[in-house]
Amino acid sequence: MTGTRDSEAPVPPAPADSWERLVSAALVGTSRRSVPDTPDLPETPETEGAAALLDRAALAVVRRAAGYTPATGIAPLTPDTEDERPEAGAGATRVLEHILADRAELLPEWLDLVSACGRRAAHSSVPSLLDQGVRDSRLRPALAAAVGTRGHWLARFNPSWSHMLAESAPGDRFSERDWDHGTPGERRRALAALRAEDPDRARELLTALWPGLARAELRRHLLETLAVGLGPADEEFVERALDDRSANVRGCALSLLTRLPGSGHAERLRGCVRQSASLDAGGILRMESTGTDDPAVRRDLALAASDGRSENANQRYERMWALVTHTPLDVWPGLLGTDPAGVFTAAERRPGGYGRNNWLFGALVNAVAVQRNAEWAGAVLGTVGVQTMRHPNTGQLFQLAKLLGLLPPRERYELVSGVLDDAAPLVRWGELLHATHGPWPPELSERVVGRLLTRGRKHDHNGYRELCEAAASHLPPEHLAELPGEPPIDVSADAYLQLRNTLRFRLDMHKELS
Amino acid sequence: MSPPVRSVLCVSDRWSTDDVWALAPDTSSRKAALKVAKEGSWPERGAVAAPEGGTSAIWGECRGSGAKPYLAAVHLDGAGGTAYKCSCPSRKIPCKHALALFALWTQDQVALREDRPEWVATWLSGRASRQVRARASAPADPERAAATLREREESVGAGMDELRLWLRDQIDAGLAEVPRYGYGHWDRMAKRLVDAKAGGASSLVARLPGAARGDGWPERLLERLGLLHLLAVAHQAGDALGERTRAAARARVGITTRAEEVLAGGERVHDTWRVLGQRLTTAPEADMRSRRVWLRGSRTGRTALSLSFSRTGQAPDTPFRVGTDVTAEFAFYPDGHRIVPAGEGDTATADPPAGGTVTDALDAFAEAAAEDPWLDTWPVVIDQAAPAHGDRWYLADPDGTALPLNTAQPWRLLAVTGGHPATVAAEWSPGEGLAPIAVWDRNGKAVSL
Repeated sequence: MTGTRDSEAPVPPAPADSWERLVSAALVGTSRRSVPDTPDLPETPETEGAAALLDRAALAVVRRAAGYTPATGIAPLTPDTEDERPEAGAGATRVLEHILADRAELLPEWLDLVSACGRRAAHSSVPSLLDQGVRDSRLRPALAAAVGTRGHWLARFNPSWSHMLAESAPGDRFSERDWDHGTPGERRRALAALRAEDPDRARELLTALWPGLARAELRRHLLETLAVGLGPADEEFVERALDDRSANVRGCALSLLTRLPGSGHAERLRGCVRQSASLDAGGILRMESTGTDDPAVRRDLALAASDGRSENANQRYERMWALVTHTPLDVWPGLLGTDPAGVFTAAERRPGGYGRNNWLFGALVNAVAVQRNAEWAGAVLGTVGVQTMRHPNTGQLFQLAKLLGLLPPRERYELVSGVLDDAAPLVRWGELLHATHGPWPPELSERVVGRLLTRGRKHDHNGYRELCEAAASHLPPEHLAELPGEPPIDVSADAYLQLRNTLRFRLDMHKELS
Repeated sequence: MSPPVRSVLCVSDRWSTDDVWALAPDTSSRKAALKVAKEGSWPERGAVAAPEGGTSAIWGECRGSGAKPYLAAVHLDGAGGTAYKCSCPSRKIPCKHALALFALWTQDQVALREDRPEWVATWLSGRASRQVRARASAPADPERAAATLREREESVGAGMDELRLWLRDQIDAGLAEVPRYGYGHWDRMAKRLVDAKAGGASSLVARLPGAARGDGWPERLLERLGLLHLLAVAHQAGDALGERTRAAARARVGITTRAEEVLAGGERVHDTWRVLGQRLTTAPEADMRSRRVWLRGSRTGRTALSLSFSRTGQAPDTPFRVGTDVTAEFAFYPDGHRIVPAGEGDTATADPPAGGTVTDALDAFAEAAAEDPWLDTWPVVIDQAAPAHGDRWYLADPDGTALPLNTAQPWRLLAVTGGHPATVAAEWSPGEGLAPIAVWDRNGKAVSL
């Protein structure tokens, strides 16, 4: 075959075209088309037929690989500002890798320890920590502190990490640029930073911006920043947010208002409680729901407006629960003429038995936990006893960890110790100690160690496991030394050895991060 | 520079817990091993002392869910590298029990013991006698070996001739119909090459149908066919080529050079080798995983590649760690890059390797491609390299000259550098892009990627 077609092409092929001409000739086949000229390539030994085409193709391919043209003028990223905190050491990083692979339940403790010793996570750990934040939103503030500025910087490049952009980081400063032109996350961080320094100015900026914020999510995120430095001056603005279109924003406003016992909102709720609650002849606390089925009350409790149909029992229950939860606790002693302990005694006497089926009692306990009132926490635990704080519906220990956490440590441990006598069943020890967050004082720890090493007459395997698990989470790990390597009780050897493993792991972690 | 660590003094100097986890065949077995790597799971365990000090083997009885404990052991100083044994039914090597026991030992939780159970003694003595037998039976009949070698060369030569003609036939007929061909079209040629003992060329042919799919297939296919043809022609040219080019062609055709031959007759180079980085890959067609470790000689500037293989489900072993220097003698394969370590070396922590610009990196690739035109991967070290983002991710040098990355998620590289210029070691492949393998942070610490 001779190149009749080629002679018809007057223009000599440009070098860049050679490769394409070789490809199109290869597609058609050298039995039907001659090998195109490739003036930009060196000579090949063969000049015709398939061999020549393949030789020239190989030349072109190798030349292209060896003569690769790099990109130019690609602007580098704006680098991260250096996080001046020292990095967690190699040992602590190895511990973290184990936690991420196998012991997720210890991640909060690792994060606490690393921040307590003024360190940050190693940069190489940052991507996996950001991934943790995707799964667990409660961990985000602690994760944000651990990953520091590097984490915030990195999160910009991966949309699934965008949650981190809204988390405040140590050393955040308010900047006009971020507030006026930033992403939603940057605006939130700017506002939070300003709020920490100048609460009034922050609220004024938010007030001015508020009507223009179309997205409810954004309104809620910004409103949440008022939680820091909250005071009476914020009442008016937050009160208005109770009328928001979005239930999430209304809920956020309610939780802020609940922290302002001097507000008009609080006073309205007190009035509502005074109208509906009373002691009956038998000294039993009763509450009527009839007077509270009112649009204004619904609004104050951030509940959905009535749909016009008559209310069912669940809706009524929900409203009364919310009313008791959010009304300042100080309304009760005056109304009933008794002290906090007396209020619980009166609530407890309601028909339906102790705790169970008694929603009013549960709601009052809930109010103590939500309003974080230490005095009332002491009163409820003192009156009712630590071990019978059960949820009215489920029978599970209810809010106990939160109530215990409100007490000063000394009082907390005395209360728990007082209940834990050696005759108490192991299950009771386990569930109570689960709720008693540490670090446990030496006396309590020693009692727990003693209990773990004692075999009762009838061994309760499940209870023993519960106790082991509680000790694994809260026992200061240095007590490992008091737990011998040989399991004290054969049938529960697994649970005991697992406890030892966890304590050893935690001991290493504490050593690496001290 | 810190003083060199004598790696032969005590075996455990060379094993950190991280090294052990790196042996895990996959993530799930690593996770499983973490759960078993607890003292409580190993009521009986011990280490066997090596005659010259250090540890020769570790053994343990793992309390599991069953009535019988699993018996696991690790032989550290055997001739064929680390070996594992376990009575559990897992087919992974090492299994989670062996890994867990190994990890415990690196954490100093397995003490040296005089006594050892019978099964440990039996296993270790069995291994020792097998090694003696293997050494004794190596060179049997030099004449017959030479004849076998000749036969093989002839067979491969015939196969490659056939391949050359087959390729020309494809081009003569035209490629337009190729996407409609069934696998049989390719498999016949691939099978013929296997019969001709040209396994490497065979797998290159077997991968062709993958290239003949999707956008731009004609370009991709012609590239492959051109390079295959070049391989067939190069093999035919034989001694007319430079030694290294010839070796590169023979290795790709599938003529293997055994490590013993390299140790016996390969070029020896003594140097202080800086470990640039490593990459673990799984070959798609075979049931194999490979670990590539790239090293560079401080004195000679020579690039060395340590390649180790294992079956899927196992992790290839390596004595080299990123961030260290190894002073040792290496025996080079005929291609001038791949090595076998000739004896023990001294390991010491090292500074970041010297790097260059992107242009230097491309020049280095071109230089290597001049000897090996089929080259698709070459290690480069770029100094003051910073990640950059355009239509995709890049790594740019201070001039703004940039190479595209082979991944859309270079998070670890970004996290370690924070966008600041750093020394980055990477594998450069003009087709795939740049695959960073190690980065040195601002304190000079090496981080594997």
